[in-house]
Amino acid sequence: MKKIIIFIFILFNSFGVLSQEKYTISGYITDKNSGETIVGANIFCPELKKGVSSNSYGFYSLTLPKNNYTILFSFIGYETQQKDINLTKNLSINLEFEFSSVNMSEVIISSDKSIVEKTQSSMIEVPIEQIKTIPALLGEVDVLKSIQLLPGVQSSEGTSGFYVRGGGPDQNLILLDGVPVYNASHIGGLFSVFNADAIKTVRLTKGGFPARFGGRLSSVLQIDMKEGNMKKFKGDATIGLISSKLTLEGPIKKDKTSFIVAARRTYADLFAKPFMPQNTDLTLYFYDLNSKINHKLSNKDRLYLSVYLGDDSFGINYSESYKGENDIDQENLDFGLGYGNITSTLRWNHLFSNKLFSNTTLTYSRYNFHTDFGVNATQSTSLGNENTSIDFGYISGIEDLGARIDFDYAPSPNQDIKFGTSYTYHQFFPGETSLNIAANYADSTPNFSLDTLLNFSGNTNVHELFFYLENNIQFTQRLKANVGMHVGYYSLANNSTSTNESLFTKINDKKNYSFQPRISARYLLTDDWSVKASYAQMQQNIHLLSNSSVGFPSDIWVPAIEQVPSQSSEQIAGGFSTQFNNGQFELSIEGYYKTMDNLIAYKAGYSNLQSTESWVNAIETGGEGKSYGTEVFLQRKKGKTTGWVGYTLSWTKRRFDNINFGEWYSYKFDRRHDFSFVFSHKFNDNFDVGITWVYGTGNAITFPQGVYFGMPEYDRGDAFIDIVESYGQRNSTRLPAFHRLDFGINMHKIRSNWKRTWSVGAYNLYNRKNPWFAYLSYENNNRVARQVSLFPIIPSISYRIQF
Amino acid sequence: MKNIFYLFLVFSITSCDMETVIDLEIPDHEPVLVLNGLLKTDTISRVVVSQSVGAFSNLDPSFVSDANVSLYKDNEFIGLMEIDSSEQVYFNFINSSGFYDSIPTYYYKNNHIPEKGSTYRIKVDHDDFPSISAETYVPNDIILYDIDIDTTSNEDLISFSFSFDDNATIQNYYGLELYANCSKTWDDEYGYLYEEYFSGYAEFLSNDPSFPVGIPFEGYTFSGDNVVFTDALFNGQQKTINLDVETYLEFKDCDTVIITFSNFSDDTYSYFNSLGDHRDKGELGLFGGEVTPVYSNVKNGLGVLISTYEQKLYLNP
Repeated sequence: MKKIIIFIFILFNSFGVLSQEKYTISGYITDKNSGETIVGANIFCPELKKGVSSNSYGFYSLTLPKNNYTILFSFIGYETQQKDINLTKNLSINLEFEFSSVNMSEVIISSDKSIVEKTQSSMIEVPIEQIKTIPALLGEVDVLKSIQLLPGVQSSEGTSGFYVRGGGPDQNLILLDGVPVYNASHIGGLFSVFNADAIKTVRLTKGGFPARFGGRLSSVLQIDMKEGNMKKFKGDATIGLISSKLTLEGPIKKDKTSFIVAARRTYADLFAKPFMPQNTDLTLYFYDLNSKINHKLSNKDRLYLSVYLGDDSFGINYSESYKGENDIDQENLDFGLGYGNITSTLRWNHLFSNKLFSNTTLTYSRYNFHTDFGVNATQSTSLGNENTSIDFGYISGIEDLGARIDFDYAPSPNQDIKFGTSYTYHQFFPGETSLNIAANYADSTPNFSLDTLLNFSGNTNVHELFFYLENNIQFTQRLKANVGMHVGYYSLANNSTSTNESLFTKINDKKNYSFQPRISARYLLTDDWSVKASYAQMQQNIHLLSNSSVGFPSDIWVPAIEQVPSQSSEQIAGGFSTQFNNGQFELSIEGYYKTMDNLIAYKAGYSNLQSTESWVNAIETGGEGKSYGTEVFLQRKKGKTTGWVGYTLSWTKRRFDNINFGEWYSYKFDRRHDFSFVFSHKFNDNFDVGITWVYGTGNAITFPQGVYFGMPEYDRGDAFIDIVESYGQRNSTRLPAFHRLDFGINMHKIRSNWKRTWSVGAYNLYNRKNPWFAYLSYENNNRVARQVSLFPIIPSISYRIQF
Repeated sequence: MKNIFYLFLVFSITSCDMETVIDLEIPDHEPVLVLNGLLKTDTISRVVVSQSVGAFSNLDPSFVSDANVSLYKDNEFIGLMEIDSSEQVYFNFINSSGFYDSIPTYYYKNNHIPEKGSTYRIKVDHDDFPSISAETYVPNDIILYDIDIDTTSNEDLISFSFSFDDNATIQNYYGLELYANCSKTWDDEYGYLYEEYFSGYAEFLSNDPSFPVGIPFEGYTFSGDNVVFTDALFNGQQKTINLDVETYLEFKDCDTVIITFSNFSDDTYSYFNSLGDHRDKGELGLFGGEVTPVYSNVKNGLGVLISTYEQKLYLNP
C-alpha cells in the first residue's frame, strides 16, 4: 500500500500548479493540402519555455497562466507558424500546416520532437517517406522489411517476422490502426501485409513501454493508416513485377468526410499459368485491401472506420485419366493452403473539454490458416464405378473482439496524463486435423470409410482486460519522466466444448492479475545532449507455437493456461541522445538488459504439420530468457541525403529444463553484430537513389559436430548399429554471416496534375549467397555442410503514377 | 537502361543454384570414447566400446578393442570386462559414403549377471583418450498377474491382457515389445503349396491412454511393435494393459509369439524416447523442427549405459 501511495504521489506531484489562474489553447493540427492530421507537431511558448506535442489524432492542449504570449507551431518540413495571443480565456486554434517551400528540393522526413527532448527511450519512428525510398525485394516497398533494418531488430531473410532485443516473433504487438494483426506476412513472409501507400505513420517501441501498451513482451509496432484526403481527390497506382496496387482517396464532403481505399494483388499465378502442364492448375496469389472513412461529426467529435482484408492462397490441382480396354481410370490430386487476416476499427474521438480528449475504439481482428490435401481415384469398370478418396485437412486461427477507451488529460504544460481501459475477448482455435478416407467398391467388397479428427485441441475463449494510468511529468526544465502503471486481468472463459475427453486437451480455468510498473525518464545535459533511462515490466497472455526452423503461417496462437502460464519480462534500458549539425543528425547510444520468464518452445523434433499430439503435450514450458546489448543509431532526417546507420552488439540466451540438458544456450537469433546502412539521396526533383547494406552474424543453429556408433540392435538374426550424430550444445554452431546490398533508382516526371515514377532496383546486388538453412550431406564420399540460400540478385522495375 | 536490366535478368537466372557447400563455425570435435551397453537381468554383462569421429571426417567411427573396461556394482569393483576373441560379431551399418557396410567387433564381457535393485557403473580407460564412465540403476521386478490370452472371441485377433501394481514412491518407466517367429508350409484346397515365414518384431494394437497417441487405425489409438510409457496416468495404482494382435500373419499358428514387458530407470527411458524422436523427426530440415539429440549418460564421452528388467510373456506356445 505504501508503494502505491508513493506511486500516486509521484504520478500527480505537480497538481499544485493547478491552483493558479490558467487558460488553455487547444485544437487540431492538420496538413493544408490533404487535411490529414499531423502527429507530433510542436506547440511551444518561448516566454515560458514550455510546450506540448499534438497526439496521435493531431490534437493538442496547452495550458498557461493568464498573459500575452507568442506561440510557435512547428513541424519539421512545414512552415513554422507564429501566433501572438492574449490569453485571457480558453482558446481553440485549429491550424493547417503548409509544406515548406524552402525545403521543396530536399527530402524532408517528417518528425516530431527531436530525439534529445523525447522522454520516451527505445522508440524509433520510421517515416513512411523514408520507407518508400528503401530498395525492396522485387520493388515491393515493405514496412516490416524496413523495420528489420533498425538496431535491436533481428530478422531472417525472406520472412517478415522480426525479433526485438532477443524476444520471439510472438512478442511483438503489431497494431494496424490500433488493432492487433496476428500474422503480418504474405507468401510465407516474403512480403508484409502492410501496403505502404495506405500508411501514414510507423513507430516501433522496443523498451521503456508507456503504460498504455501491454500484452507483449518485446515491442509495439504502431502502424496508422492515412485518413484520406479531405481537400481533393487523389490517386496513386503502381505496376510492379509481381503485383499492382491502386490507392484512391478524397473527400466525400470537403473538409467533413474523407475516404481512402488501397488495394494490392499479386499475379505470379497468371505468369506461371502458361508454363504449367495442361492437366495442372495453379493458384498462387495474395491480395489486400485497406479502406478508411474519416468523418468530422463536429468540432468536438470525429469518427473513423477502417477495415483491412488480406488473404494468401496457394493451390495445385493435378488430374490425369487413363483409358484401358474395359475401364477408365481417373486420378485427381489437390493441395491447397491459405491464410489471411481481417481487422476492423471503429473509432470515435471526442473532446470533453479543451484539456480532456478521449478516444473510444471498437476493434475486430481475425486470423485463420488452413491447408488441405486430397487424392481421389475413380475407376470405371464393367461392374460399375469404384472410388477411393483420401482427404487431409488442417485449420487453426484466432479471433478477437475488443473495446477500448483512452483519455488524454493535459492539466498543465508540466503534465500530460493518459488513462484508459481495454477489453479483448480472444477466441482461440488452436488446430484441428481432419482425416477422411472413403472407398466404394463396385463388387461385393464392403465399402470402407473413416472420418476422424486428430490433434483437436478445442476452442478456448479468453477475457483480457487492462487499466492504465500514466503521467508525462516535467519535473524541471531538464528532468522529465513518464511514470505509469498497467494493471492487467486475464481469465479463461470456458473449457473445451468437447465431450470426448480422450481426444481433447483439458484446460483448467485460470485467473490472472498483473501489476506492471513503467517508468522512463530523460535528463537534458545541454540543449543537444540528454541522458535517458527506463524500466518496464510486461506480461503476455498468449503464446505462439512456432516451428523453430522457420516462421510459417501454420504457427499457432494459444492462450496461457494453468500448465502454460503467461510470459513475463523485465527490461531496463539507458543511454545518451544527441543531435548535431543544426539538428540534421541525431545519434542515440542505448544499452539494455532484459529477462523473460515462462517462455515456451516446441519439444525437440516436433513439427505441428507432422504431429498428432495436442499442443499442450507438444511444448516445453517454463523457459527463461535473457538478452542484453548495446544499440547505436545515427540518423539524418533533413537534407538531400537522408538515412541512418544502425549497429547492435547483443547476446540472447534461453534455458528450458528439458532442452540442452537444462543448460543455457544461444537463441537462434543471438546475433553478436548487426549492422545496417540505409542511404537515400535526392539529386533533384526528377532523380533519387536508395542504397541499403546490411550485415549480421550468422544465425545460431544445432548442427552435427561428431558421429559415433549407437547401441547395437538385433532384428531377425542380424546385428545392426546406427551411426548417431552428436550435436553438442544446442545452437552452438554458426551459419556464415549474412550481408546484402540493395540498390534502387527512382526517376520522376512531374506535371501539374500528375507525377509518374519509374523505379529500377536490384535486391542482393552482388549476389551474395546468404544462408537460409544448412544440412549435413555427402559429396565425393565426404561429409559436407550444405547451405540453402533463398534469393540471388533479383532485379525489379515498377511504374507508379500519382494524380 | 534496357541493357542493364537484361544483364540483371541473365545474371539472376544463371545464379539461381542457391545450394552451396560451406564451411561452418563448428566447435572442434576431438574423438572421444563411446560406450554402449544394455544390462539385462537374464544375461551376462556386455558392452561395446568405440570411438567417435568429427562430423566432417571422411572416416567412419571405429571399434576399440584394447580398452581397459571395469565393472562396478553399487560402487564395488566386480571385475574387468574383456573381449572374447572367439566371438566376433559383424554389425551392419550405413557408412560415410551412404552405402551398407559391415564391421567386425567384439563385446567386452563379464560373466556377472546384473541384479535388480543395483546400480552399475562401467569405467573405460584408454591411453589415447580421456577416461569415460557411466552408470545405470537396474530396477526391481514387478509382479504381473491376471494374465489372460483370448484366442477364441475374435478369430481375427488375439486379445491379451495383464495387470501389475505401480510403485507410488518412484516414477516408473515401462516398455512392451512383441516378437514372433512363424514358419509354416501347407497345401491349399487346390493343392498349391503355401509358405508363411516371419521372424522379428510384430505389431500390436491398443487404446491404452498411457501409450503415445498416433493416427487412429481401425479404432485403435496406438499401433506399433514396441512402446515405452510412464506411470504418469496411473502412479501408485493397479494398471491393466490390454493389447490386440491381428492374426493375419497366422500368429496363433506361429512357433513363438512373445510379449516382452520391461521396466527401467529414467535414463533408459530418456534414451529410448530420444532415439525414437531422433529417428522419426531428428533430421535437420526446413520444416522438421529442432533436431533431437540422442540421450547420453556417459561422462567425458558418448553413448549410453542403460538397463532393463525384462519379463517374457508367451502368447505362443
